[in-house]
Amino acid sequence: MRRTVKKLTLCALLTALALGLSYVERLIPMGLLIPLPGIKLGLANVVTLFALCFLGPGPAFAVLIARCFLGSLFAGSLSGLVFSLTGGLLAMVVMAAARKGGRLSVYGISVCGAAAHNAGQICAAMAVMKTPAAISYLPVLLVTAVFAGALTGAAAAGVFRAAQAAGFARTWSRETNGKQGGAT
Amino acid sequence: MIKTKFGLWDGAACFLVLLLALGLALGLHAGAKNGGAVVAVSADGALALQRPLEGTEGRFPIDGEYPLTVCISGGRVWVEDSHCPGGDCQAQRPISRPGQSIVCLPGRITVAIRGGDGAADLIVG
Repeated sequence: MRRTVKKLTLCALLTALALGLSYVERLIPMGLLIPLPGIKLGLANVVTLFALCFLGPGPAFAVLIARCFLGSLFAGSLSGLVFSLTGGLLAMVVMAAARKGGRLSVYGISVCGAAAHNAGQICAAMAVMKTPAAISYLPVLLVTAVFAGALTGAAAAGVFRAAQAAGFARTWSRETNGKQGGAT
Repeated sequence: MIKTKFGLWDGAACFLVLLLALGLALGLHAGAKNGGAVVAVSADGALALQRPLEGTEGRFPIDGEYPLTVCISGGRVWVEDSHCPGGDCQAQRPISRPGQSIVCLPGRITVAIRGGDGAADLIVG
């Protein structure tokens, strides 16, 4: 019972943090740095990465779904849900596979996730718009995904090092019966 | 254990993504021939406007949830006066080659230049 409450509380905190980062991200004038429409850093992916690496795919999936639904609800645009959900789910699958591969660091996993996120959103756009025209934007998005993914990867690496130094993984693993804590 | 330092495999992953972007861009560009290219505007999946790219000059209002105006001039196409709250379609630079497009996601409007001379819009694999 205690373990479940702890897990639920941590997932709720991570969801709130991801929503906050999504909001803060909108205040960053990306258009001044990269003069292209629709470019985002994807700061919320730091939280998804943390959940995936420290808590496992299940909780990470729950945090992602909650963040997508609540984000669309707060933004007042449920039409955006299909894009964030498709991109987010594809990114999650790719990042989980990249992590399981064991070769990539948090930087590489983040870049793969960013590229998958953009590819997923373009697929959703093609389905919603009922035309393949949106694919012409994918090369540009993939190039920006490398830089955005590396930046969020750097942020995630800092968080991971701090969490590891604080012994988060060991504490979490002990308190949740040794079943969690992918990163030590 | 998750590595927190950038390594060789991470560089390879970045290179692979960039290679994919380049391949896709070249594939789209290979199918692009300006001769006989047409500007096609779709609203919610239905064709709303079709005009030859070369020789067309004018502003064309497009109805929809968020109405916008498509401008065609000098072999280039761009969006003006969009009512969309995002405004991404207006921010996008003019397009001039087959395979390129301007997309308004909230309004579900696509402005695309389709290949002329019987060329494919996209060559894959």
